Amino acid sequence: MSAQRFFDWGLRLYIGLFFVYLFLPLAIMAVATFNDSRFPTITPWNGTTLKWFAELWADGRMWAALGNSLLVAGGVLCLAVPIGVASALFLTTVESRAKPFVYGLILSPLLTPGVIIGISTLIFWREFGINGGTFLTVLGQATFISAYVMLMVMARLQRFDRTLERAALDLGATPWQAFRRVLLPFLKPAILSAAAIAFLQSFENYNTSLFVVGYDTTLTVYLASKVRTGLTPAVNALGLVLILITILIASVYELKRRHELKPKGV
Amino acid sequence: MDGSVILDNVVMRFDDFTAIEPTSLEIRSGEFFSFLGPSGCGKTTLLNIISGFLSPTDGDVRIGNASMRGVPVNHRPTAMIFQNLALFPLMSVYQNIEFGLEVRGVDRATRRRKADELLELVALGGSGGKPVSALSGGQKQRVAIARALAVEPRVLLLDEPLSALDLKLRQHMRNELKAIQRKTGITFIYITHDQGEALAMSDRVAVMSAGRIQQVADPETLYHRPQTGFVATFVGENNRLAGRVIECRDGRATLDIPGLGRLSGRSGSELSPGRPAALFVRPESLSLSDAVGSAAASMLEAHIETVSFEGAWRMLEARLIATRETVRILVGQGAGDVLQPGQTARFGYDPDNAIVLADDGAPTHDAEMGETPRASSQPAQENRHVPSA
Repeated sequence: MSAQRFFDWGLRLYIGLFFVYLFLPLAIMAVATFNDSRFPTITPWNGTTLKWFAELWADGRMWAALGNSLLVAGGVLCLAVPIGVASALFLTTVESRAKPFVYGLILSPLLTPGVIIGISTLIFWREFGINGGTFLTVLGQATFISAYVMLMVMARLQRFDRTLERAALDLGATPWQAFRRVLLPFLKPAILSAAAIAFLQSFENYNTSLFVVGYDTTLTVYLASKVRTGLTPAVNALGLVLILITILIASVYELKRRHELKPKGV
Repeated sequence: MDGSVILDNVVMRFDDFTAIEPTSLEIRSGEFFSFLGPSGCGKTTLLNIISGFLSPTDGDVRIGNASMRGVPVNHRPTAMIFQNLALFPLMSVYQNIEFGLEVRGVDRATRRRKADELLELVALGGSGGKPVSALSGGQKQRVAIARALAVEPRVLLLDEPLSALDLKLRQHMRNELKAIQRKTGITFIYITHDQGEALAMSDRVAVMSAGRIQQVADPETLYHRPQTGFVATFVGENNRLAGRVIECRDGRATLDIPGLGRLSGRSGSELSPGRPAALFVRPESLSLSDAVGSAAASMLEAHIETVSFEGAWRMLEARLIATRETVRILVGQGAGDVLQPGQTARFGYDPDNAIVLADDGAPTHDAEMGETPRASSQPAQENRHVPSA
């Protein structure tokens, strides 16, 4: 009995410490946004201010970088999701000797350091007269993000009951109809989460992007460059805004999910 | 509407394994036809060849007298009910049933009308809006039937669809399937390893073993006049006593069975003196010697090993004193009451109720199955057999 209580308290303590470890830096960062200090810190507290939001708002290059990051992430989605889904389908449905080769080929960028991917993308495309910029950033990131998509979609595909496809064909569906009406709805949740992961992977990517962005700086590359020229709490303000947006999206998603879980009449 | 299915010299080979030996067969339009055989006998392969999921290595399938060569699955006038039913889990009952019509471009109102009709037919009226996951096993079964019938197939293919149901429901669905088949007049081709199912529902049954059809006949004929040792032991239960033919006359054959002497029965296949053959006596044809009484009866002396109570009757397992072979005997309640394990008793049979079949070295069901547990408590409708010594 007392061992059980000891365990319960230990578990609570552990969870508490874990959350502190996870959220304390974010909390400090958020609070520092409101400190009237030239550096992002909470000590000494020089007085409460909102001026760093104003400064953030006025930072045109930052907004350009953010816009570019979103553009790159969109491009990566358009490229990585179809490639990932197609290779997952190929690897689980087609009988081919090329399977291990294709599997290795798609996964290899995951095992390659991002820096190498960035450098090699840059060197390769320079041969064709294409220099660093949004286009190369999309290509470079998509090489390894496709692999994430493939792995996630494959995991779900392996649980697919192939007789469902056979049943659709048997009932007169064309292979395309069977895919669209039976397999695709089954894969939809996996494709959507893979797309979300792909978006985040692209948005936060730094090491590959660093080499291929050219003048089309992404947000991560821009922030890193600010570290050298001197950070101000405006960066904290940006962090706070991003956190709030994340919480908002997560809440909307969760509410929608709960709504869908409710039994529906027809 | 011609729903006849003709297999014309169909052969199926996978690399160097022959799944289907050359097979020719005609299934009549509107017939309830079953393929019965143990797993691995090729019956599912045959079903896949008819439905179009597999193309035969050689030969042709004709449905309604039209060759199916080169006709893909989705253009064949067949519909399949899968072993696991394969209902679309993300769709409602209506959507499942209407699927085949929807992909054919049938308009919404017609689809719905048809689906409602079919739901009535399978006694599920008013359930169209339910998600498939909300249905019980038996209801899912009915939805699968309705979904297959919706595309108005000439031939309905059923791949052991009842195997997942419990005993009571299985027996109920047998009657229902048979009733639906009569009402619709569609050719049903049923695949099963359960002889009870095949015998109860079918107009004709093809018994298969090792990629070959052993016999095609109506259930009564299969049971009373098996043509091969495999059919004799696979359909219903049989005691097999192997020996050599001594004489063959007037539809009777007499065998010399080592240790047991001369025993006779109806001759069931081409027999000639001196050739190996086996006598098959069903457990219900064996009885305690007092009960037989006539001089025509042949006697066997055996040591009773187990007596299992099975409701209206008892199943005895006894070891023949002369050969140490095990035989199974079905006795009614009265006789069963006095018999105890450890006793020795004499059993007899009427030679008219025993059949002699040539032993051509082809596998019997027993040989294929290998050793089987002696004191089995299998349910009554399961296939039982005597391990050959």
